[in-house]
Amino acid sequence: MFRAIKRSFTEAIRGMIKNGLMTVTSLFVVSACIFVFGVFLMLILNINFMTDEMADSYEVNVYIERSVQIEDDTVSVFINRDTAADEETYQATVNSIQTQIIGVENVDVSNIVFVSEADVIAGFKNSLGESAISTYTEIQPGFVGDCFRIKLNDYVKAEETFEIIGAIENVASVMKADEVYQRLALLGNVSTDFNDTKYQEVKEKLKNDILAIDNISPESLEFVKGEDIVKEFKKDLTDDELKIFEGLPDDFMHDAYNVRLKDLSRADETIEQLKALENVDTVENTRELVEIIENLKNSVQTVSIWVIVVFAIVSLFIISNTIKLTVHNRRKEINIMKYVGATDSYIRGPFIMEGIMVGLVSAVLAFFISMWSYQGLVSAIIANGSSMAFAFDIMDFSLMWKDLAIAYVCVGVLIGAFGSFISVRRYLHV
Amino acid sequence: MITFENVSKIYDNGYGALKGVSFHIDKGEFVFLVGSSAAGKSTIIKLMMKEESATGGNIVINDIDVNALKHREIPYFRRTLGVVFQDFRLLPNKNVQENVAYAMEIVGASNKEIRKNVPVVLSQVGLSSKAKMYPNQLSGGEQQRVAIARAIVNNPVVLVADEPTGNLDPETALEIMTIMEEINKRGTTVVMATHAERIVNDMKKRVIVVEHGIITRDENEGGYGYVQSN
Repeated sequence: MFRAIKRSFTEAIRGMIKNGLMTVTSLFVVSACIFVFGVFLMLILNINFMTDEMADSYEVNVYIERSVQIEDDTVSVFINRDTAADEETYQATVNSIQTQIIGVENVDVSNIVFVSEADVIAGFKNSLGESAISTYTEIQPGFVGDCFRIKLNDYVKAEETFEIIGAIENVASVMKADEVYQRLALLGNVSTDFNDTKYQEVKEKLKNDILAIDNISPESLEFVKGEDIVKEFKKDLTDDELKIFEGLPDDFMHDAYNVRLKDLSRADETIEQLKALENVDTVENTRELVEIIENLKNSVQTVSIWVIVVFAIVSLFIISNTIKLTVHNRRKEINIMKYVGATDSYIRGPFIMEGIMVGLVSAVLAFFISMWSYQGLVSAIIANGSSMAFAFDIMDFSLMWKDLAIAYVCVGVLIGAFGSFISVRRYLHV
Repeated sequence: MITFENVSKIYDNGYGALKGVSFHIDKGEFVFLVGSSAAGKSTIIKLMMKEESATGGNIVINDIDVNALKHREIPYFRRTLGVVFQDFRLLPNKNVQENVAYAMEIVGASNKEIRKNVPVVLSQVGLSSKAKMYPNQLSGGEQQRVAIARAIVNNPVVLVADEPTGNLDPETALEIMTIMEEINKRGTTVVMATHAERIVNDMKKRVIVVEHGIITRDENEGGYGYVQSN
């Protein structure tokens, strides 16, 4: 076995030397092909590196709802009382508003109710929990006003409808149920936030809900307080920019859960799942970037596959021609071997070995060409300072050389062996 | 040892080279295969070597059904035959000794066996003194002797020679025939295709005459006869 390999090896060297120019030509062409293959491989490696880096830094922030949710789809249309001189004119105003509301498209005509100010306040008071009622101070009459409570046919067009109604004469404001609640809570000195016990419950439930999503990496889940988010954000700002935040409470940002995803390609789906969870205020992420990188990755991979196929075929052709020449040069010897009773594999061995060696030497050549050009490119980019333009680091050669070397050697050996095999089959009639 | 039974061969181009050839050669025989060019001699040799396959009939050599040989079995079958050609077919870049050793390397002989056997066969053909010379430094007769040494070094049961004296002058041809006869005396069956009328007539061996693809004469201690008459 060892002797057979040794013989194939020496015979192969002989063949390479005898073929001289053709060997040199094929070495250069094949290493050029492997180099092109390598360029795409390095591109793919870099993109994978970027995606990995991004997967590491890609975070989804799930902000936690902290106010009591009002499950009420009514819209309140408040009436301006100040402009009416007496009760009679006010009544006329109310009637006129009612008629006009009925005339607005998208208003559910069967659901228009007049609610007096006292009833609005009473209703609010009734909805308050124990802890809220303890701080409640009576709302002064006249601050709120009477209203019509209406419903809409189509809530998608709500904004549009609000504007139309808001433009009606003597309409003070148009508010959704939760806005009304917020306003009344402000007037009555009542906190709209969950009480502590309730908030803990909400937080805990949300945490479990988030962890139940399979694409969430459980160990990545991290709770961040809203004020810390603000602090962190303010840290990078100039004094001028900080002025914008004057007057805002320190915790104007909601608390959040920061999570990472296991599989970035499923980011869209996962974010929709997160948004659908109960007590989620907003979900923030850098999805656009993920999409760009994923698209880039896909297109580079598609192009690479075709380029690699084309250059593999070119390499095969070149190697098989070199071997064809060797076979031709040695046809007499092959003939003699056949008569003396050499087996097919004995005869083919040196040719396959020669192909493998051409592939291998080409791979080594291509590796050094790749290394020098890659390092040259990287240092040129760094020297120009344009690396800042890249959102991500370029992969260092030391991180990829092993992958590259293994791929080159495999490709070189495979192409070499296969190329000479084709030749030997076609031109060596043993 | 060698049996041809109603063997026919039609080449792919439709040329019928052999039309029902039958003969039997016993172990240790020395047989001349005689006939004009394109009579079918070379085809018989090629069929014996399994270089070509018969279109019909049976060929049995050394108890092996040659027609039934599988492609991968052919090399092992050929090792039981030694073959010598008109044009010697030596490797120009190897010296005499290496040319002979090469045949042993191919069949996987150990270095020890090679070192032992090569000098023996070289002395048999009278070339011991020229072991280190290259083919282009040798005369035609010497080159053919190297070829014979190579053919017998693996101890074949049959030595097949296709016009071994065709390129040699009569004197040298006789030397070669002496060597062939000695090999035959040691028990190797020899089948030799030839045009050399004088050699055939002098040696008084069995002669098989092939003409137009059929055997026209097969006699012991025969002569070359009328063959060239057409």
